[in-house]
Amino acid sequence: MKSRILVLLTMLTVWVAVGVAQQPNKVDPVEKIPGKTQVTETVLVPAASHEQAQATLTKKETPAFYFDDAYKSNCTRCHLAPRRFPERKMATIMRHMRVRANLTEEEAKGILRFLTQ
Amino acid sequence: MKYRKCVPTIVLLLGLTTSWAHPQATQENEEERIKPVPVVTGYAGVITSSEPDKQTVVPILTPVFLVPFGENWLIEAEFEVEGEFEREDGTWNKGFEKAVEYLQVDFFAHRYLTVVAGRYLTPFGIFNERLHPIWIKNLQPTPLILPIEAGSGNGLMLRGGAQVFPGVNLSYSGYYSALTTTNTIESKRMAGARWGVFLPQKQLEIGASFQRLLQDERSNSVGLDATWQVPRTPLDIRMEYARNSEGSGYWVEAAYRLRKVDFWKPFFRRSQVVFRVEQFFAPSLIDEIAPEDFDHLGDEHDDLAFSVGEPIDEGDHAEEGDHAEEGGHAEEGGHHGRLPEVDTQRLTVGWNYYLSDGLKLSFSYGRDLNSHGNFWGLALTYRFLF
Ligand code: HEC
Repeated sequence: MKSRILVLLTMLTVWVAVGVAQQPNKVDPVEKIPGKTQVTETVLVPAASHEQAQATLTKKETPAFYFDDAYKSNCTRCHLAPRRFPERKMATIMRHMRVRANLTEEEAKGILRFLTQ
Repeated sequence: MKYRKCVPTIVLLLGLTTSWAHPQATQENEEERIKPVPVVTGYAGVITSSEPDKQTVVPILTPVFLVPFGENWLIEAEFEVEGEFEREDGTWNKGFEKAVEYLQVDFFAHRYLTVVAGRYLTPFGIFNERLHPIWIKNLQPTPLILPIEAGSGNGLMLRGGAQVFPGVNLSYSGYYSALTTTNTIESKRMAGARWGVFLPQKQLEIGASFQRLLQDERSNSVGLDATWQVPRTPLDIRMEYARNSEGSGYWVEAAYRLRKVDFWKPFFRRSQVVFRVEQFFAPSLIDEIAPEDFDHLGDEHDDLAFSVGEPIDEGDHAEEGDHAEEGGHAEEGGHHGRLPEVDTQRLTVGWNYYLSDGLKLSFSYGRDLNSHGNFWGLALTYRFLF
């Protein structure tokens, strides 16, 4: 019985998530957020922590880069920021991390774009 | 089996959910520009640990294969091969272990839903699924409560995440696993879920896990976890609490990068100090014996003292006199240790030196406060990617 409740609860979460999905993408474009950041340095420092990852980013406004936040908050949560790999490998890694980190499609693809600039 | 009745419900709901889901065409497809290619990655390392009467050397190789196909699919697999060289009473014993950590197909059914089928790492808490690789974990000795997290499952999993409010992300993973007894791909019959709330601006994630064993004693496990990366400080704090019928416990770990030390900068910039405190509470022997176990004894209750003194159910517990295996400080790469048999308090400190991307030298020293046992370890770990 309890496991059925569990299954239903999980499905409910899925439905809520899918319900949210019906709404337009909620990530605000960067123009609306003051003080957004853009990458100016292309090589991410190996073995960086979230702090160091932040330090490699400097301020400048461009809409294309609003996923830097998603990168910063996600990619150092479980392990140190990895270095950049060639873009086709990075695309595979982002599929892998999308599953591991429960990222949304927007986050995964936005971070990929950010990492392959 | 009443749980079988759940299966059609799952299939139906899964069908409905995925058919309701918008096709992905609405999204600008980044991967049209960048085609993913198969990747071989993984990690290798040598982990040594030493206790007063025992030394262990464990070489580990764990390849990971990532094979993307189509627009929305990924096959991922991790295999683990490890040797175990153990020196006790002056003689070396050799051992060898291999295991399939995961072998799964991922289907991105929707932007907020991924369907996983196959063998997967159980998403109970954070250590088992996220921190177990030797290049990721901050301390090589695994936490005492790790066996509660149940390694890998074979079956189906639904997972995903969504931003529910600005600055609040919700994630979920719900899974069902069938019983498998085949060597290297063992799994229990179980169902469970983890829900997480992630506040990206605060760099804080809090998770709750639940799991029900659908075999044997049909017990429940519950867990709580938290990850906090203190903003503007190179400090990571992680913690977990887990409880099931075989005991309960927690660990709290702080890892600090020594960036701010003003002398020997090249050295300290790459160094990290780690501190972990943990406790495990074993159920008392009386708790372990359900009252109905006594019923058959009738007038023979005098024997109870004897019965209580015997090991009752070895379950996932370490055998007596086998403390080296407890919580896995000798069993390094694998994360299939056994729970301690008695209440245990442990402090572990460590130092990591990041030689380059993926290459790390780690030192750890631990002390069991109850048994006054010490152990220390040295490890070299490397994450590779081709
Ligand atoms: C929820 C935890 C988690 C988050 C968040 C996370 N990773 Fe990972 N990552 C892992 C784990 C666990 C592995 C090791 C996979 C394995 O060996 O099974 C890994 C492995 C990797 C690897 C090695 C190659 C591979 O795919 O195994 C790279 C590169 C990587 N992550 C990059 C990233 C990037 C970029 C992000 C940001 C989107 C990210 N990670 C976010 C948990 C995470």
